[in-house]
Order: sequence, then structure tokens, then C-alpha cells
Amino acid sequence: MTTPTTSASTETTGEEITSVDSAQLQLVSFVVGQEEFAIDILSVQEINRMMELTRVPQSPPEVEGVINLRGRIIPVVDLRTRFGMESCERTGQSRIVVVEVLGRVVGFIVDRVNEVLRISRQIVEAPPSMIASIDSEYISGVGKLEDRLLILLDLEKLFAGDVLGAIDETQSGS
Amino acid sequence: MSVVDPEILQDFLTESGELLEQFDQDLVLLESTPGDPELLNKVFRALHTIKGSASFLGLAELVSVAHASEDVLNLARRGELTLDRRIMDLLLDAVDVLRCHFDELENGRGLTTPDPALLEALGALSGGAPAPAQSETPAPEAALEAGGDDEASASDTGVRELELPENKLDLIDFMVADIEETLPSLQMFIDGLRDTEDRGAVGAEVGEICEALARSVEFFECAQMGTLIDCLSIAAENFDAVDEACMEQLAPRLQGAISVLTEQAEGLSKRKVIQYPINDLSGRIADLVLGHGVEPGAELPAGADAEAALAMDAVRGGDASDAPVEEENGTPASAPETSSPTGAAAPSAPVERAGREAPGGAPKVEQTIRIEVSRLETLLNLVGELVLQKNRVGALSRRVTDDDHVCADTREAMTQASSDLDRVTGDIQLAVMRARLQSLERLFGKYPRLIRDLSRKTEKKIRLEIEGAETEVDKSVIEELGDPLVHLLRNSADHGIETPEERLDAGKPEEGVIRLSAAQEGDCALVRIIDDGRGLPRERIVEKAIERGLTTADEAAHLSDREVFRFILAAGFSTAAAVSDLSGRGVGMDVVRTNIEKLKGTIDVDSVEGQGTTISIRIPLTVAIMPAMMVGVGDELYAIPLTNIVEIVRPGADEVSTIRGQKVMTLRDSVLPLVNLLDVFDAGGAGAQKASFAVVVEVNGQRLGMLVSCLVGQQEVVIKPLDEMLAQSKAVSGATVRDDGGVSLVVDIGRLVESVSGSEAGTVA
Repeated sequence: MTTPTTSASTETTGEEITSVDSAQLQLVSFVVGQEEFAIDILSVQEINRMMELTRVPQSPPEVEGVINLRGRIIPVVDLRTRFGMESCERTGQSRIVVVEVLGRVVGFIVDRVNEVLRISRQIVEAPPSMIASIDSEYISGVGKLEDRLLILLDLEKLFAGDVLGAIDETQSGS
Repeated sequence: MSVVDPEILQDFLTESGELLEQFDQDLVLLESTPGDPELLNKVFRALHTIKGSASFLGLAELVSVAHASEDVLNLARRGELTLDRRIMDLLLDAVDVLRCHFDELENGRGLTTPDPALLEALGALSGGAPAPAQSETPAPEAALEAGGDDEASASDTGVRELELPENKLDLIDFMVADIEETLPSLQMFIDGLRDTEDRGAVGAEVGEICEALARSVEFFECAQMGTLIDCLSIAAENFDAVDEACMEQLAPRLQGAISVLTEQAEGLSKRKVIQYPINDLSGRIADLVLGHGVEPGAELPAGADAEAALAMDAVRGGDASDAPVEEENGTPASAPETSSPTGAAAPSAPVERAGREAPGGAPKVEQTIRIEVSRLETLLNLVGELVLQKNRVGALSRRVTDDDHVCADTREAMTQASSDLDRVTGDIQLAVMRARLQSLERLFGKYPRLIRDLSRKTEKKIRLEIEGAETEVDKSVIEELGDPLVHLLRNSADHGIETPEERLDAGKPEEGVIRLSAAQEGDCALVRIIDDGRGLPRERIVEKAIERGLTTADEAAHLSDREVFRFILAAGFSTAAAVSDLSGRGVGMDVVRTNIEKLKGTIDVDSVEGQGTTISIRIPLTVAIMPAMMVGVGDELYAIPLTNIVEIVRPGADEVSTIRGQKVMTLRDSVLPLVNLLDVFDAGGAGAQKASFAVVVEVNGQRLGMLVSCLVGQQEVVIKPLDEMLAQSKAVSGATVRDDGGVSLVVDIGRLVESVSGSEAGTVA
């Protein structure tokens, strides 16, 4: 077992937080596979570099393992597995995004974190029934930027316990 | 005091709650030693204090029950009544009613009116005729104490004729003389109070006098005087806890109270009952004693005297007639109690109060403080974190020590610092854990009553012997242990102990004995319930187990007694021919097992048919932090609780074999099931280290070998729960942070053993 020598450095996401008026959404965007996703900045606790994960036997397939987050042990989900994408090598750009959802602290692995951005609510549209093989259930909307599409994730649905089970079934069925 | 300050109420509940528990226990004890004067006095005092505090708070319903029971005890104390079983039943019923009242107060509900039949029955015992006790004694006092209740005659000055039943008339002169003799000495003590160093001693004296007075006053059924004396006696208990400022306010008021009493006593000698509006006075005394001060505008100037106090508290309209003071008269002849605190069998009141964790308002108030459990909890969690950080520093220090590039001085200093940290952390951990320890006394104290009730119900003769109640365990353990012990004791009394006839036929003494013992054994607490009853019927259990599919006849023949007896712990398992209202539903033992497992404890059943059953429960002293063995499984590290580990061996190839699909290993002359943790944790990937060590663990008397790849060493681990997302991991009970900062999972030995023995039952003979 090696010691993770790099203390989990937190890349600040909070510096741009100003008073968010209700017509604006402040988001953190990240990339998983070919898609760019975004979540509300307020639900993000921190973003860490990859660190050593401890595998938990008999856990759901998308759970990569657990990490020690300053004395707190939290599960880490691989979004690629979660979205049914092919898994790939972790790179120096891989990050663990730690979010708080419904009182639980959960981390998930993304290929890379893009930026903090602000968009107008008006450019967000309801999700189409299917986006690039991802079930629309946990997509809260799609933001149409000038040059690209941003998929807004609904974290509550993404990490709610019962949905997890349901998704496992759909995955194994397909 | 029409609205009770919640803080005062809480104090009352805690303090009186403890007294009530003690009262309950002492009553049961009293049943076996009826007429023990020391014990009688003790129970009387306890009840009296509860009643006194309750009347302060205006809890009329509670007071009426306490009062009725007190009358009965008073008679018993004077030897005019023998406490037989019937009376005991009534008194214990009264305790239950009081306890019910306490619950209601705690939950902010109104008090239910006590069953009049109970009051009547108690009244009949004390008053000879039921009517007076019920309608006179509790009622006037209750009305008075309801405070602010303006129909109560207590709130205004008045004189009425003294009305007493005929049988008391002869004694009036004697009783008045008694009161008049006692009051001056009380006056003397109170007068000297402000200048005395040792208020505790004065308080004790005053308390004794008050107690004697209270009895005399009770005779006259004069509620007001009773209230004032209760005031004085409660104040006396707290003298040394009252600060100077409060004392300045308190002393004149106490003097005032005495002067009112003196006048009332004079009135009694003329067959008159003199009433004063004493609500303010008694209320303010109560506030002062509890350290709350008086409301603004009611403060007395420094050096105020009794009359000033009475004027301020509106007892008297300001006409300053001198309080008559007679020459002092020595201590009352009827000083009831030697307050020697070294009663061997039954500790007397001072000890009992000081000995409990934190009785607010008791004389030794400075030596204990009450702390919210949540704060202790936080402290314990922080200590857990500290232990983890200490482990990390230790690991770093070892690395530094192994590093040749670091100069020798630094290495030594590092080692020193790290070992100092280790020691201090250990001490802190111990100290914090100690703070959470409580003796089992409180828990065990409830059981004599249980056994008593059970023996009455089952018409058996049962004696409960308690040993080692002073053993201390973590607070959480006490909470979880209560239910299992009740179940086990019920089982022993209901199924274990035979009827007196059966016992005599079997050549045993008529009286069955259940022994409840506790002791510390290493870092576990060992609690045993041993009965000398009929024992467990192996054949019946086997029959039932086969019936329920837990085993097969073939298998059962090979099982040891202990393995057979384990079946009774299974859910829904009962051999009782009929379900009684005590037990037999087969739920009990399952609850026992579940609760004990929650505490990471183990339970073991041993029995010899015809001679009795022994149930042993082992519980680790603390649940959160424990020593563990770190083992390598594949390329992950896992923690195995050290308490479960029996030994670690390296089994040779000839010692491992397979019986009907289950791997087993031979360890000396026994055969254990063997599991490979690499398989359990799916860690046997390509290139994974081969499992070469077998860690032998034991839970609930069942052993199991676990193959692991390597051994890392011992470490203290702090168990943290896993996210619900991971709850389906079967053989893992939690996770912990290692000394290198990484996360390791803690192996759930209990579930592992269970899963193996479960599958084994179907496959292995």
C-alpha cells in the first residue's frame, strides 16, 4: 500500500460565486466520455485529484470504492460505468468531484473538469427522451450554448439509493 | 408558581427519578427483611423528599399518591403496621403510578388522576377508615399546592377550628408540646446559618429536625405547616450549595417560615388552625434553594429579619409582632436517624445521593456536573479522529526512522515525540471512555422487582442474587443491555426454575436461585445469568430444530451440547409447550441476540439438564474504538477485530481438506470450517498473493478459519459506517482509516461465521 503523498488539493470552485440572480444558473461543467455535463455549483463540496481508492467487495458495479476525505469515508462512483460508457484509463486530468446530495456526501470520477460558468435559465430546455445512450431520468435539462450542448444532471436522482438499484437492472438487461 | 420552570422540572425529574428507582429497589429489599428500621427510614425519607419536591412544583396528583403511600410507610416505621405482601403490592403499584407520572411530566403531558381505588386502599391501611385519608390528607395539600388556585383556603389568612377524628384528640396536647419543643432548636440553627462555615452540617441537623416535625405536623393534617416544613427540609438539603447572595435572601425567609410555624403551633394548642398566604414565601424559598434567585422587586435589604421577609412575601400585612422565641431546648428526643454513611448493606441517604453520577442540588454539587450525552459523544468522536492521526504520525515516524538520509538526532527526536503522542493519546482515550462508563448498578437494580413480580405470578420461589453490579460499561452498552437481560431473566424464571413441588421432588431446595453476575474480563464485560432450574432439554431442542429445518437428524447427532443450545437463539424458536403471558413466543432470544450483536458482543448458552442453565454475554467495553489485526487480502488491507481472533496459524497442505464442498482445516484435534477471504472479497485476481495464513476467529462459541495473504500488524481502528450505497456488502461491518491515511474495510466476523454455518448446516455432517 502506498501512501497518497499529494494531499488532496482542493481546486477552488467558489471564487466566482457572487450573488446569483434567479435568472442565472451557476454551474460546474465536466466531461465524461464524449459528453459535457454540468451540475449546480452549490452542490459541489470540492474537486480533488485522483487518490487511492479502497475497493469494496460486493458493491454495485459503478462504485469504484471508498476514499478517506479528511476522516470521513465516502463512496466514489465512476460516472463512466454509471452511464454505461466504456471505462478508460485514468489520466492526470481525472478528478473526483465531491458533492452533497440529500445529506449524503458522495464522490464521482469524471474525465476532466472544464470550467465554472454562468448561463441564463432561458437557454435550458427540457431533456429529450434520450441523449447519447444516457437515460433521461437523471437529466434535468439541456443547456444550448453557442458552440456546444451542456447536459444538466439531476444529482438527487443520480444518487438516490432506490434509483441505483433500478438502473442496475436496466443496465444488466440491455 | 403556577407555571413550572422547565429547568426546575427537569431537575426534579432527574433527582426524584433516581430517588424513585432507589425507592422501588429498597421496597423489594424491604420485603425480604420486613421491619428493618434502617431500610424503612430510608424508603420513607426517599418518598418524603419526592413528595416535598412535588408539592413545590404543584403536582397535586403526584403528591396525593406519594402522600398516601407515605402514611402507610410511616405506620410501618412506627411498628403499627407490618408490611405484608398485600401492602407491598399496593406500595409497588403506587411506585408504578408515580413512575407513570414522571413519564408524563417528561413528555409534557398532564398528569393522570391516580386510581381512587389505590388511594383508598392505601388510605384504609393508614387511617383505619378509608374516608379521612383519601378525602382529607391528599386533598387540602393538593389544593394548596396547585398554587394560584384561589379557592384554596391557603391563599388567605384565616382561622378555623381544628378538626380531628376522635381517636387523635387524646394526643393533641402531647403533639403540640412536641412541636413547640422542636421549633426553638430549629430557630437556633437557622439563626446561626448566615454565620456558619459548615452549612452542610447545619443542613443535616435541620433536615433531621424537620423530619421529626413533619411527622408531628402530619398528625394534625395541617397542610400549610407541612408545606412550610417541606420547604425547610428541602432548603436544608441544599444549604451548602446556596451562594452568599441567595443566602442573604434565604435566611430571613426561613426565619419567617419558622415564626409562622411557631404561631401556627400556638394556634394548635388552642385547637385553632391558623392559615397564612404562604404561597409566595414557599415559592421564593424554593427558587432560592435552587439558585434561581427571587424575582425583581422581591429582594430583601441586607440584614433583613424574619418580619421583613414575611412582609415582603405578603404573608403578613406588616404588623411587626415579634416572633416569639423561647429558650433553646436541646435536640429533639425523636431525632430519627444516625446519619453514619457507612451502612454496609444499605447505604444511608447521604452516600446514596453523593454516589450517583450527578444529583443536582445534592450536597456535593460542586464535585459532579451534568453533561449532555451529545457533548460526550462529540468528544469521543474527536478522540477517534485523534487516534487515527496519532497512527499516521506513528507511521511517518517509522518511515523517518528507517530513512538513512535523516540525521540520527532527528530520528531519535521523532521517535520520542511519536511515542509521547502515543501515550498521551492513549490516556485521553481512556479518560474519555471512562467519562462514558456507568456502573451496571442502575440496570441491575431494576431486576429484583422483576423477579419478585415473576415469582408471584408463577407461584414459584425465586431468589435473585446479584454480583458485580459495580462493573462499569459504556453508556451505550447499558442502554442496549436492558432488554436482553429482562428477556433472559424472564426465561430463567418462567422456564428455568421449576415449581416448588417439582424442585422438592428433584431433591433441590424449594427456593430457586437466579444469579446475575457481572465482571470485567480483559477488555470485555462478562455478564452471566445462572439459574439452578431444570436446564435445557437437548432432545426437545433438537426435535424443534429439525422440525424448523435448522438441522437434520444426522447432523444433530454430531453436534455438541453448546451447538445445540445455540438453536434457541434463532428467531421464532420456542420449545415452550404453550405461550404464556411471560414468555414462550420465541421472540425473546432473537431480540437478545440482535441487541448483543449490535454491541459487537457474543452470547453463549450452556446447560446441564436438571441442574440449570448458564448464559454468558461478553461485550467489549467500548464499541467505537477497538484494536484490530490488519491483514492483506489480495492487494487490499482489511481489519479484523482483535477480540475475535483466537490464534493465527499457517496451515500445512495436509491440514486443509474439503468435506462436502466446504473447506475445512484441522487445528490440533478439532475441525474448523475454512474460508478464503480472497474468494469472499473477490480479491483473487491475477497475480494476487496466495493466501497462506489462517486467522482463527471465534464468535458466539463458533470458530472459523479465514485464509489471508499476509499479516500486517495490530492497529487501533475507529469504525466508521459505510454509505448506504455500500450496505449490500455482506461481510463488511464498516471502514476505518489506516495509519497511512488509506481506507481499510473491517471484516464482519459475525456475519461471515453465520453465512458459513448457514451453508454448512445443509452440507456438512
